Amino acid sequence: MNYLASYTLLLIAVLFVFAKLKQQVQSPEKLILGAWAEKAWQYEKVNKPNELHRKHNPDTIAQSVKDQLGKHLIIHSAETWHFLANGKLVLRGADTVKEVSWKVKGRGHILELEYANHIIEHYNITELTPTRLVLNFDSDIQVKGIAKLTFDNLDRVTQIQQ
Amino acid sequence: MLRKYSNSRTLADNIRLGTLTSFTAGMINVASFIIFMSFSSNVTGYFAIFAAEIVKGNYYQVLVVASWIFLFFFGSFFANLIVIHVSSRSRYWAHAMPLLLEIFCLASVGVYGQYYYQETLMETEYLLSVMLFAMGLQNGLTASISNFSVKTTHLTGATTDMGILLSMFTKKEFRDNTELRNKAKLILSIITSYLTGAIVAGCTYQYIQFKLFFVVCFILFIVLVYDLYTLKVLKCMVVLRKRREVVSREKLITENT
Repeated sequence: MNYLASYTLLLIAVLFVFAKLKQQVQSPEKLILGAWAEKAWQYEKVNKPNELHRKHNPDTIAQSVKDQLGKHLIIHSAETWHFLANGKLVLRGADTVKEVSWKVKGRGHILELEYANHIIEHYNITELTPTRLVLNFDSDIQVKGIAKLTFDNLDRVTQIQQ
Repeated sequence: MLRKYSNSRTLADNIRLGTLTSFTAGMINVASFIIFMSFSSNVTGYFAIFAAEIVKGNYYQVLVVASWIFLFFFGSFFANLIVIHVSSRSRYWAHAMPLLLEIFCLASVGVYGQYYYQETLMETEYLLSVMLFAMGLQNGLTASISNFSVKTTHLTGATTDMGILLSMFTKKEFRDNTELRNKAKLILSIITSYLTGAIVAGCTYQYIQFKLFFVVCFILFIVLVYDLYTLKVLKCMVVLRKRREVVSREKLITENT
């Protein structure tokens, strides 16, 4: 039975190394904390070749279409997202403030938002750096395709600018 | 199911083992996807994700995915290690120990998830790690004892084999080959069972949540005790037969005297 014990120790040692290495890298759960300002909504897919320009322009979705697109989404009409450490997300719009719960799932690549009435939405975290957050969500209404939401971290961007 | 090894196994042994374990793997995979948004019974996709995350420079995700792949690998390694080292003492226990370990891992996930899970990323990563290790154990065990003919946690190989077999069955000489037909039966039963498990988990998760893992443990427990039960029944039958023979012999002797 000595070999079983030695290989179990090997497993523990390797897992310990992984855990130590992970401590050196910031978790997406920590990185996402803070205030993020909505920068752009973009199409990632287009239905026709003559709509290709939409893919490359930074904010090609008009407010009316955003409203249509986000009609069934929690994030609808939010301009600033404030992720709090207690698992709450404050969505501030021009004249609205909403509070939802947030969780990061999978390997840190899924953002789950839960509304008070238990409606749940999932977003893919495509990019998460100290200054930039990119989320993707699927939509089959009107715009047909994947929309990309880009954010700038308000605190860190201001720090850099200063 | 667990007593026999490699070439001494019959088609029925492999089908029983394959259907029960693939049913549980299907349940586990769907449950992990619903709860944690990640798969837990296959690692092919994780190799691709691993490479993609390296390219993107997401080193946190690289480490998470690397540890998951390692745990699946280590589960398989550990299962076969037990099989080859313990079988000289007891073949049944050599095959039962990895399954016992798997039941322990999945039951731990069930208990933790049901009573303590706060849905943090760290918990998600650790619970998925335990599940990937458990699935590695299961895949390693079933492949090891069935001479690599039963692999139950993913269907890539099974789907490929099924495609090849069905194309072979377009010729009569292959259709008449019993070995090929048996192989097709085994693969079909594994695919059907995996799919059924996945559908059952998808339909029942919202009602029983993490208790689903206890159902999986119960099914694995059946695999574990099936051989013990059949051995006991066989022993009883042998004892009864011997008694009958003794009684009939005694009767003959008394009649003759």
